[in-house]
Amino acid sequence: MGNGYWGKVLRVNLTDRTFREEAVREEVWRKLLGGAGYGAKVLLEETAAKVDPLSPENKIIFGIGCLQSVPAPGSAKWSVITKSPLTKTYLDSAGAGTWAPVFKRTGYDSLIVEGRASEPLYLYITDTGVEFRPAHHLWGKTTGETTSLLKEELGRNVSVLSIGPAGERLVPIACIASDAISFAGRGGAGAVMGAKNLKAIVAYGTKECPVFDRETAHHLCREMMKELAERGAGFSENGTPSVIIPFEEMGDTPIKYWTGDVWPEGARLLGTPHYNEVLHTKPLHCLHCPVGCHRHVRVDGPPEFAMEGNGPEYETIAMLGSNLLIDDLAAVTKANEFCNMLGIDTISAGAWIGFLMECYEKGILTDADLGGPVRWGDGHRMVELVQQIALGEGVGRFFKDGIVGAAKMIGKGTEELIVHVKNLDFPAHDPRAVFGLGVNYATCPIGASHERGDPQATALGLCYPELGWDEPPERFDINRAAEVAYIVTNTSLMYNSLTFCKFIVKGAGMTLTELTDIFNAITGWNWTPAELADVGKRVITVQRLINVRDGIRRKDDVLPPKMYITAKEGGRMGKTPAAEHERVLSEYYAMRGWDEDGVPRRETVEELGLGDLLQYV
Amino acid sequence: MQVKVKPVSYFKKYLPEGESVITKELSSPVSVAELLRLCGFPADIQPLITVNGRRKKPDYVVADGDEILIAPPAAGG
Repeated sequence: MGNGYWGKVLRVNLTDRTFREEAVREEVWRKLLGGAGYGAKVLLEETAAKVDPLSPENKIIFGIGCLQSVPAPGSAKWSVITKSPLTKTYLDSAGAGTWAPVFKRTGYDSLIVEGRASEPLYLYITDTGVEFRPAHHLWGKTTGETTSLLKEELGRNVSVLSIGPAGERLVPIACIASDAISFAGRGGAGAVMGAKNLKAIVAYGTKECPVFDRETAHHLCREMMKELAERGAGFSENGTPSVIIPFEEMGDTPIKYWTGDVWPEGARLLGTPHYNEVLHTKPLHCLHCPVGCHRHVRVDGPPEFAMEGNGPEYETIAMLGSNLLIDDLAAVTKANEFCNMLGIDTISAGAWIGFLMECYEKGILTDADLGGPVRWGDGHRMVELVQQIALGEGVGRFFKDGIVGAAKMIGKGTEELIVHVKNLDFPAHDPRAVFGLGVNYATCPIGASHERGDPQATALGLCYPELGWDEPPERFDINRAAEVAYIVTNTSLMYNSLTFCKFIVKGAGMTLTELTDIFNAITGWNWTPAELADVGKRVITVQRLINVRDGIRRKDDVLPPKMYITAKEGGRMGKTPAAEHERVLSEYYAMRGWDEDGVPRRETVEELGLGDLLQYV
Repeated sequence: MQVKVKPVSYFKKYLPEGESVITKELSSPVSVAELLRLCGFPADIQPLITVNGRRKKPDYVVADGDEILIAPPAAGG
């Protein structure tokens, strides 16, 4: 009888073009589930401290879990785990599309890639093994072109992970595209693939992974797909652009690179319903998704912005829109397309352009430095800059080492302007609007992330009755900030390890109990929802051990200077968690069983059942 | 019969001034969708509905003593 795991992973060495399968004990899956949990363990055990992220010695792991053994809602998600060229420490990022369930059918629970190919290649993984195929004809191509060419070459049913020119050029915010519709955006995993001369990973499998009770699992999945399509109808219709207006009202959305307080007129032009009216929106579904929160859009004009394809979602609209005082959806949509096709993270791209606009406004950078004016609100210029950044040209030269590197290069007090944690730019949620975000960003193992802990969702109503949270906490309650970060980090890291799309919970309204029911039908482990959420406690500890080994301590769990400045008007007027950050940080460390310097205690590691990792404490 | 309706997040703006919950007396059972209409919520808010800690659809017919949480979809990724 199965448990949703093949019990083996695929290890590929690009240097000598070999592959082998390796057994993994069930105990490992019981502790860490797969995805970002399993990947962190591999990274901790198999890479040296401070390994150069772009060297052959760095590894890149593509992790999935047990949900992919059945058509579970939200199971198209996969995690990529590696050392980040941006933060130089632990990274995981997640994408969806079709790759995860398709890869699962090749007979493996995860993929570990190591070494460096001597020339560009792509991997073709099927039921019978791995082919190392030349990729010279794909090098230089966009993610969209690469995906189309590989599907022409190998058939429409294959699933394609690929990088664009940004990854080839080692841009530190290069992303990985999944079927060119979903993107593992953050932290530069695409550059790690580029450094390995790995253009794409194609999967096509037909095997069926054994599960505990297939009939029940399939029945639950079918029923949930129907149910969630109804519960999530509003989210399907409006997607994440639906939260632009409410988040702006709360003061959560970045405005003018974190210096603006309110911009309701911009939010009205960027969010729904205006978004749907001007972009002719249709939901875009990942495999096994009842919602389709990605957006298919069409821009009819002006001619330079005309396109049809993937539309921008909340993070992108905010970072390339309100963050830059740009209210032109056509420009934002075109910039989003360039980011997707050239292969970079829209969040950091928006952050970097915001930084340049602020430097230009303050006279720190001039026309000569920037090749012309870089003014707030200039959509055409923004679209140009996105391309320069993606290709590592023009203003891209400032950002070889990310936003911190740019501030060091430029000097003139710009360290005070940049908004990041551990060199990962803030995503589009403001800790001053949701206090739990402060400690969440500060301690997140990848740097400032809104999806490894998502306190912003609690401000919209996310709660977990199964974990004792009948109602969402009040967003300005500093005395509950650590608790908020603790709970939602546990659940988020569990989702990222399953691997499961958390929008099925937050957007479509699936409960933790319903997810656990499907999980138990697959695994036969008969867990409670709380036991499932507890996996997150182990996962963050493994990830934190990598941070600690890289020298990260309390001194690095800080908030940037702008977070100490309060708004004069709007939904977060007068508010900031920053003044009490140190106290909240201590509370959070204590909840995690970490010491006052943010290092997991030996007894914590043992209590979590991670005794095999004690040598890393 | 009596039920309680508790909007959260930005749906709180539909509460009466100074209130955190709407207590509603009903002469007969109605669906959540109808209940929200009776309480003055706009027709197009498309909320996630939780009744006594369990997720329900708008056609769920309320029972005496039900506590109904009304939240917006929380996805802002």
